[in-house]
Amino acid sequence: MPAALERRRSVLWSWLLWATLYAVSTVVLLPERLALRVAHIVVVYLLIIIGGSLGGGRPLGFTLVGAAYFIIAYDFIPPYHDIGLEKDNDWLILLGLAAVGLTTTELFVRFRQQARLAEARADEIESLSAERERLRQEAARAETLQEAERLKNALLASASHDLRTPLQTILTLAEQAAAAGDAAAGQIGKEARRLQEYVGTLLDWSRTRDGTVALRPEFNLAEDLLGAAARACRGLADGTQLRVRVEGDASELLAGEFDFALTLRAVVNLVENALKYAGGTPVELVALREGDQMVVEVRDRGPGLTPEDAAHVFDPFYRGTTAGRQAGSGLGLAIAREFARAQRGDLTWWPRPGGGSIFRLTVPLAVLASPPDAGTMPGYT
Amino acid sequence: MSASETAAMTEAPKRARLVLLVDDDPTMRAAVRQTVSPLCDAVVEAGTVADCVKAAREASPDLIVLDLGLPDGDGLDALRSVRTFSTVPIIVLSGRESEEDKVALLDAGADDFVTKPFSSAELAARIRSNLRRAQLEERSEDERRIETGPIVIDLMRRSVTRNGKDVRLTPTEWTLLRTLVQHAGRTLSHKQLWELVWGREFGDPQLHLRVHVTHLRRKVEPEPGVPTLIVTEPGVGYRFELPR
Repeated sequence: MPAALERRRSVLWSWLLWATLYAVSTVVLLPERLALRVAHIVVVYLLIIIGGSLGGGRPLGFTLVGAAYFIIAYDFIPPYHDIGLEKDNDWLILLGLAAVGLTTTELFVRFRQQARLAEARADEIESLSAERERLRQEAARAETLQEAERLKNALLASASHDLRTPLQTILTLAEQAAAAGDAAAGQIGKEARRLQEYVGTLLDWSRTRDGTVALRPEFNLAEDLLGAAARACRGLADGTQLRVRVEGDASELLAGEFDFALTLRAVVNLVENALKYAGGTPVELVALREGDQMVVEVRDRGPGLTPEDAAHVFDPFYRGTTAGRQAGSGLGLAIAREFARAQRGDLTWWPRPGGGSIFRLTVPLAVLASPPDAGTMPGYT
Repeated sequence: MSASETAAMTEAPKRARLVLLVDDDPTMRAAVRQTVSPLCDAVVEAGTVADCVKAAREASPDLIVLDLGLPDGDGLDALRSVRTFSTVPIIVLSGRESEEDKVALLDAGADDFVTKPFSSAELAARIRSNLRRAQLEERSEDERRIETGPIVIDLMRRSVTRNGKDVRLTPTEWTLLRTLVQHAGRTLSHKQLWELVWGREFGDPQLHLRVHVTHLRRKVEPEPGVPTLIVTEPGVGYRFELPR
């Protein structure tokens, strides 16, 4: 502790300083002892005692008092070189020296303690009020941020809803104009659709932020999820191949507790990404059981991620160092991870041995206690 | 392009006589009308819930295209009102996309829903597919014979074969398959399927449905890993899509 060390050092210096002064005074006064009155000598020593007790506290003060007593009795009050006293009243001088020295030391020490305590209190109060002010500012800032976030999400949600209908009109009219032979109209329709999709993504994002994702985790099968995802990505899987597989014993159905629609959106997002970057190489969509989790992995042989990308790939609006060539909002993975975490799962990225990426989505495993059998059917007519 | 779309195109339905188009926005109505009119003889338009119910009762259309955002009430109310007196196919155009909303629409009696943004081709395909199903329902269901890849499903003979070999289905799987085929092209909510197939209230519909659908897929899907016949409508239900 630096403060305690510092104090010990200053005490040591006091001892050295006052002991030296003592020695010097004694050496200076000794040859003059016949010319001086005892009172002069006592005053000099008392001054030194006062100084010592200020710097060194009780131990130094008391030591100085004791030393002064003996030095004066031994060297300055006749008979010299003897502790004994020649005149009957000289003991009063020594008693006075001791009493004044001890009292002064004690008083000074107490005064110093009080002063130190008061100083500490003042410091404490100052730091407390500074802390309080900091906390108050922090709370105010958090409240402002929260309010801003809430407003932003409300705005996003409202904009997304209100954009949907006019965009639909634009889309329909553009398609009809395109059918009538207007070449530019086809592009208008395409852009309108892209805008719609982006609006949907923003809406999803605002929902994950303000906590209004309506999650319905329920019993669902991995096979059903993978099948639906493969179907949704059919249009994209042309050229590149999507390989779908549920690992493990086929007779034991792999099941999880998850919201089907939201999880499907997350998986489709991962597969679409993988297909984008795979450059025609096969993409694997695999479900497996691991402990108490159902795991869905999307594995590709694309370029993988740089360490920089890997650290930020789930950050909202992060576009990545290689994203320039692919269009996207930069929200898909952030949304997918929020969805996964909202249902006690997670979404992580892993480098794939041999090159490429593995995106790994987990959800809680559902255990099929007794598989329903044909006996539970209704009367079949 | 979905399987139902393809199927609907290869086997064109009879032209509809009259389609009722309900939307409060005249621009949008005009746009949708362009898509609808080649598929029918005449289009009737309505802009409110009241007009919609009135037209449905008086003009008895072959199909209704219903937008949910109406000035005098929720489209869902219109849907329920029409269902009290008519079984006409109703396709809902919905800007809402939550699964609960979709389930509510199906349970209220919608035959199909198209979520915005949709393309004209998508809407046209849904209209054809629903008209076709409505016409098919007039035929005896047991005439159905479905062939796709190595799979042949013959409802009349109650047989399924893969590469000519018999596939054994449990009674529950048969009921499930028949129910789905009877409503081919139409999404059945989990609740609807549970009631139609199991016909009871107790038990865990989620568990039974998931497991039986998966087993059924393994038996009747050409490629069970990527189902094309029994299609999952995420968070809503299942739909049987007739192969091309």
